[in-house]
Amino acid sequence: MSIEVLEGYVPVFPKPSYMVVGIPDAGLVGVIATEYLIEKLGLKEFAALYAPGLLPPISHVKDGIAKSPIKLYHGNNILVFHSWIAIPSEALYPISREIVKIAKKYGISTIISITGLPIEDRLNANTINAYWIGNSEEIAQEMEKIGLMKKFGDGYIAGPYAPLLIEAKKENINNFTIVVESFLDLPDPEASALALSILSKYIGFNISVDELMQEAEEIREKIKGLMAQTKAELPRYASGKPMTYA
Amino acid sequence: MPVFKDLDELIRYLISKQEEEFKQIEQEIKREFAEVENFIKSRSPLYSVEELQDCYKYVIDMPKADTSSLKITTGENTIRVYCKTKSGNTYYLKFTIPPDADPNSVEVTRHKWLIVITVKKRH
Repeated sequence: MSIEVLEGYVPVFPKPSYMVVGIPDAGLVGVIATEYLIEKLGLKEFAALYAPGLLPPISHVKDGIAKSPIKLYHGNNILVFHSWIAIPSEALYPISREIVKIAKKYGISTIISITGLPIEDRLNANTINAYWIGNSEEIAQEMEKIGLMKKFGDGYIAGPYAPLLIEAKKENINNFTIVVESFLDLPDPEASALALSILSKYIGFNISVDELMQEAEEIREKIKGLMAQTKAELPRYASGKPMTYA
Repeated sequence: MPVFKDLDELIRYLISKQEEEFKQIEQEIKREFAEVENFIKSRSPLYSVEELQDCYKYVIDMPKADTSSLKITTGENTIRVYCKTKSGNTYYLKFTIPPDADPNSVEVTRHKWLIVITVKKRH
C-alpha cells in the first residue's frame, strides 16, 4: 500500500520554515485551526496526498471538483498539512512517516501539530489551558524559554500526533504538539483560537482569532460531518481512552 | 360496563367506544408518520452526553439554529429536540435517557454556542 504525493508545483521555503499539521481528532482543534490559517493567510494548495488501500475511498468535493481530502498548502515560511478525513488508526504510522518525508524534502525546521485535550466539564470552563509536548530536549528547552504554554508533564498522547512525534525524532526533525483543553466529540473553535494565537506568536505572523470566533457558526456547520466521522474513529486510536491525558 | 335496558343502546355504546379507540389509533399513527417525516426532512445535530453525580447533561451543537423555535418534548424514556434553522431547515434529535434519569426534571440552558439539556437522576 503506497502513498503518493502529487505536486502541482514545488514551492521553495525560506529558513526557518514550519510545517503545521491539522488532522481530525479531539474537538477538531487542529483542523479548525489549519482551515482558518489557510483561508486567512491565503495559503496556496500545491500538492495532494493519495494512499489507496490505506485511506477510505473519500474525495473532498469543493466547487464541484473532487480532490484528495489530504492536501498541502504553503505561503511565506509555512507549509500546512491539512486533512479533511479522520485517518484510520492503521494508517497513522505510514502517514506520519510520509509527513516527516515531506518535511525533509522541503527543508522544514520544525513540525507543529495542534490537538485537543478533552477535559471534564469543558462546558463550564471559562479559561482553557494550553500545553506543549515535544520530541527532543532541544525543543523542550526552547518551549520552556519562550513560555507560551505549560509543559504537559507526564501522561500519554494517543492518536494521529503520537507516531508523528517519534517518526520526526527518528529523522532529527523537531516536532512539538500544541495541546489545548477542549471538547472530545464536539467541534471546539475556542480551543482552536487559543492554539492559533500561540502558533502566531511562535512563528511570528498576525492573525485575528476574534474573527475565528465570529465565523465559528459557519465553521461548525461546515465540519459537522467531519466531526461525526472523527467521532467514530476516536475510540480506535486509544481503546476508549481520551486522546491526550495526564 | 354500564347497564343498559335497551339492546340498541348497548350496541350504540359499544360502537362509539370502538370509534373512540380507532380515533386514538389514527392519531397515534399520524403522530408516528409526522415524526418519520420530520426525521427525513431534518438534520441531526452533533451531541455529546456527560454523566455527572446527580444528573445527565446532553450538550447539543446546532449551528445557525433559530433558538426561539426550540421545542423539547419528553416521553417515558426519550427526549425529542426540534429546532428550526435561520434558513428554514429543521434540526431533529431523539435520544433515549437512562432508566435512572427523570424525564420530568428536564432543564434547558444555553452555554457558549451550545444547547444543554440537563436531566436529573431519580433519588
